[in-house]
Amino acid sequence: MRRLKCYTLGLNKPILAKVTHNTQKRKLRSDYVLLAKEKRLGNCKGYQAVIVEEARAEIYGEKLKNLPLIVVSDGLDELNEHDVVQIITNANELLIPYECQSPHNGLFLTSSCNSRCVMCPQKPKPDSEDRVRFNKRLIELIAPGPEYLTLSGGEPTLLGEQLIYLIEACRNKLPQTKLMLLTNGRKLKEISFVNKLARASQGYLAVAVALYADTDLEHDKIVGASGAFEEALKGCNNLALYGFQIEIRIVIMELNYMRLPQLADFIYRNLTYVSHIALMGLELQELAKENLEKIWIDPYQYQSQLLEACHLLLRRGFRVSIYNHQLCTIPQQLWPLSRKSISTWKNIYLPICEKCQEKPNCGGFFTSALTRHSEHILPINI
Amino acid sequence: MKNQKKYKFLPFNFMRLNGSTLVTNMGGDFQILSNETFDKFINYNICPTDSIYLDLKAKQFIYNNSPNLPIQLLATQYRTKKSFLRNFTGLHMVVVTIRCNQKCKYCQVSSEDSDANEYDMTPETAKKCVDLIFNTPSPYIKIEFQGGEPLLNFGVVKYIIEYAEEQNHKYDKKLEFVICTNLSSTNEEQLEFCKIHNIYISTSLDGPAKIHNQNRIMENKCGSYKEVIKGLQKAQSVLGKDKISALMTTTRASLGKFPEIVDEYISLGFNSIFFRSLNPYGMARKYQEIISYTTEEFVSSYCQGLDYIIDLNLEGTLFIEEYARLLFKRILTPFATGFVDLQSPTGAGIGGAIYDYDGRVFVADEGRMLARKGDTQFLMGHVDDGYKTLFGGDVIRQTVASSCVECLPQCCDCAFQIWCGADPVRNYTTQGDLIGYRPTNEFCKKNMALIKYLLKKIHNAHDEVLDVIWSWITGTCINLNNLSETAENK
Repeated sequence: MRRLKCYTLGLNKPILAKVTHNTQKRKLRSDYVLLAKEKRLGNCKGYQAVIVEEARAEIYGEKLKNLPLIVVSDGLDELNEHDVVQIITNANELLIPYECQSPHNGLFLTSSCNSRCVMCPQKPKPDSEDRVRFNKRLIELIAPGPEYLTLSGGEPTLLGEQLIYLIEACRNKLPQTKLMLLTNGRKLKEISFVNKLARASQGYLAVAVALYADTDLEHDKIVGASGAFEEALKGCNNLALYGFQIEIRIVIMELNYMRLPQLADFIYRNLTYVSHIALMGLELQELAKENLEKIWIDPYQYQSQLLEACHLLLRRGFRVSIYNHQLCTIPQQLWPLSRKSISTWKNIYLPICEKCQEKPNCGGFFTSALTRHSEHILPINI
Repeated sequence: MKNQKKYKFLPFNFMRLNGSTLVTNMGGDFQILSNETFDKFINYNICPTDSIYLDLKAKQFIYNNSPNLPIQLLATQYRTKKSFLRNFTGLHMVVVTIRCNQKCKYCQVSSEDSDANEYDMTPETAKKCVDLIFNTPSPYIKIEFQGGEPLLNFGVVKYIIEYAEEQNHKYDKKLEFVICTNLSSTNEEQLEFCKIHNIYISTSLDGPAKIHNQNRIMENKCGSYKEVIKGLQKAQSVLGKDKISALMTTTRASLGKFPEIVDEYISLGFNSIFFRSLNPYGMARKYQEIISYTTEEFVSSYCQGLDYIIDLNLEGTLFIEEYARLLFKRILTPFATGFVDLQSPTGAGIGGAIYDYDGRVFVADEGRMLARKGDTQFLMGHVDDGYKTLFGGDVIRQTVASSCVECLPQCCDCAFQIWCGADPVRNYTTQGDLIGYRPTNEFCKKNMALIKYLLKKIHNAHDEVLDVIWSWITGTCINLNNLSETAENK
């Protein structure tokens, strides 16, 4: 998530609150931090804290009595009304777990996972804090909520009953929001759990299941867990039984690009109910970075497989999207399938991209592309 | 290491084609292997590092550890392919009269003169038919009016439609009506009625006048082309072109002329055709020498016609050959198709049933032809007998039990099995029993040849031809060079 450098004065407990520029009614103020840009500062009683830019820190510092002050050196303009900010005591970072203006909001439910995917950009680890309580509060703060919200991890289904609890909370507090659960599908082999998911989500939950190959030989190797392929397919069938809208997500890497068309055909033959298929590029963080040489393939080199797979899927009536790719690396015919899928805070372009006509339509790079990117990045000028 | 099995087999069928071998799994998925690869495959000589190993594993031909997953996947595929069985009888053909104002040479039902009113269905029988039809567990009901020329007994057609719609308030089925008419006696009142009740028209047109008039003849011995076209245009203007489809029947006169016939269909505003071969029933037998042809002759005409249609599509005219669409869908998709004449088990009785003008119920149209000659093999009973007696009786059970290609001689080993079906009624008519004898079976010969041709088409096709084939299956044409029109911009 986006982070801003900051320091705090008088802060003695963690903060999780909505940002406001305006004066709020007294009884609502405990949900807010006040972003003070005006010279004059009225009565601030009741807010969790006040955020100011560095230049005004001294002026305000004196006026605020028992109220913590958050001083942000740079990037205050990026905070919008009703964004949610978080500060962990003693930290010098202002975290922004929810950005109103972003189309890519999500709840990060857990850091732990039951798989060890070779290209994972977020190394699984046990959760150090109570993420369920945190997310419950976050759900309350973002109400009435965005149009779309992803539920991700780690592997969110590992939360079990607590995932059901959070989905119910979403249904109560964010009745208009469409939820998308990102999962490896393995725990969904338990039909009783899928039944609970269905009851809690009442049709407002789509599920994106990761599938990386058309056989267990390859899929299980990629995700580092034997039996994972069978479990994921069982999971998909269970989801279909309960009428979930199902998306399949395929990360393309050296280990699986050769059989993309075959994987597409496998999905058509065996998971006929799938509505959307996302073909995704690598994000080179953490495990992916450690395994770089094993997983890296220049997208330019799998153009023919990507084209064939997309063509096959489109003919058969699937919706297809390409995520995390640069337009100059994929066949031009597929440009209409490319989506700007990278969260704004970690979405970059290279200096060479400035000369490209298509930059506004291009998904660009993850910041991690500085580690490695395609050797075929070229400005497009038609 | 010799004899060490690197993998185990799941059930499959195979067939040698020209220089290659087709293998099909239980769910209808397939792979075409070189003969050499096939030999390696069956001798356990494919290595896990070969890409073909992964192909065969991904398509459930082989497994290496537990057979659990592939068996589950095959089960789902098989269930999907057979899902047409879930609903039981949905097509109900009602013969409201066997009078006809035409005397077509290939008529399979030997009709009566247009003034012979004793061959009309009575309203009492009609009511019993509808009451019986609504007993079906199927959520979809299609009532198809046949004859004779059903519009000669329009009063009963009207009665059935109105009574069925009234009854449907209670049953809430998806109810559809089709009138199979030659359109040569249609009047305004009838078309207005069709419009109000959202009725589909299925007519017969064999091609341009010189072909059509050779076989489809009015009672006065003149060709019916002019009358049909007049009726067709009237119907199209009242009901809209999408409500009317046409069937062609191939005779000796149309052999080799399929492209002309297609042109005629297109000029009349149709966007599909069904190249239908002659049925060996009724009048067709009497005129056999003048109108019939060999299966090989039909197949060669069919292939020529299909190529012509695919070329038209490549040039931008959307036009479909229905039998190819059906078979392509069976070969290329995991889904079931609802065509009652080529199912396993047969669609006779459990997919469609036919109610004759006198209230007798048969598993198939041809059954009433046999009955007129005294053979009641396919007579389920009479509308008075009640639903359970008719649809749970010995006739339907015996017919269906004899029609599972999975256990019919020769079909059981055929690589086309999952895409094909049985026709026990035709077996009985042409070969004397429900099972039939495949080596001399013309129905088998025809379908084998057509499926082989379509497979070859798929296998050798350019991307553009595959685009056409898929557009027939899905109804949407994907143009890779202009995806922005079809893709969403999210």
